[in-house]
Amino acid sequence: MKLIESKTLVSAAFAIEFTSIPQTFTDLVLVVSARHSGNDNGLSIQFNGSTANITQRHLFGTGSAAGSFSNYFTQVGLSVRTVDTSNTFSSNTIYIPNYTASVAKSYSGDGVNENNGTAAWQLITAGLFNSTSAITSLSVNGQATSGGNELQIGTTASLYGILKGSDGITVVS
Amino acid sequence: MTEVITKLVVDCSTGIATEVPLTAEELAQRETDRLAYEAQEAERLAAEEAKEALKASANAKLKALGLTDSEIAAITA
Repeated sequence: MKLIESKTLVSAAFAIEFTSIPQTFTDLVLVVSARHSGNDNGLSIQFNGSTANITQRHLFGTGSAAGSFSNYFTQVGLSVRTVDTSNTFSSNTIYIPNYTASVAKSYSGDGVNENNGTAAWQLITAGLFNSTSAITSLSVNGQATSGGNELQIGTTASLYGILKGSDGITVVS
Repeated sequence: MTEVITKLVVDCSTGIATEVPLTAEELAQRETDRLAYEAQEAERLAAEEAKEALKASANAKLKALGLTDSEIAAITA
């Protein structure tokens, strides 16, 4: 696994977007530690500059309840809200296999947010980007709410590439 | 003064990160998402309130039949 790029916000921003993603890896891994100014704790994703052609299913736990939902604003992870414990950030990993394939791309996400209280969420996402275009850019942003949705200073997004057979042991046929 | 909403664009081919203002289209999408979120939240809260009201009503009827709180809990848990 090789780090492609990693950035930490030094000022608030709506989104962190990675463009010109090299097409030389097999899979992508996006790791996001986030906090944002919204009332909702959702962290959403876009591929190739759009939320089009994305469908998703989610499982969640809140600390007091559990359940499932679908297609919620392309949510793929969690952020920490302004009302949650200060100076805490969420942890998310999004795995995107075969991102250069000319077929629909499936992906998965898991995330937890931090809060010194009863409500702290865990989320697992299964998603499909139903496009034959290779993924050349992707971005993450906080869920838009009446409380705003700017990612806060300290939010970090790191994009990794995985190349099949690159461990020198696995034989790829 | 109008607040300028930006995003951080990281060009993976150069490693250069640039803070750019959202386009009119992105701002419009953000507003559409916000309104959709507010509508969905209102719907969810209304459904939760309706469910709580039904629960309270059912509990009251069970109590009127003479069931204790423990007995109600035992059959509704």
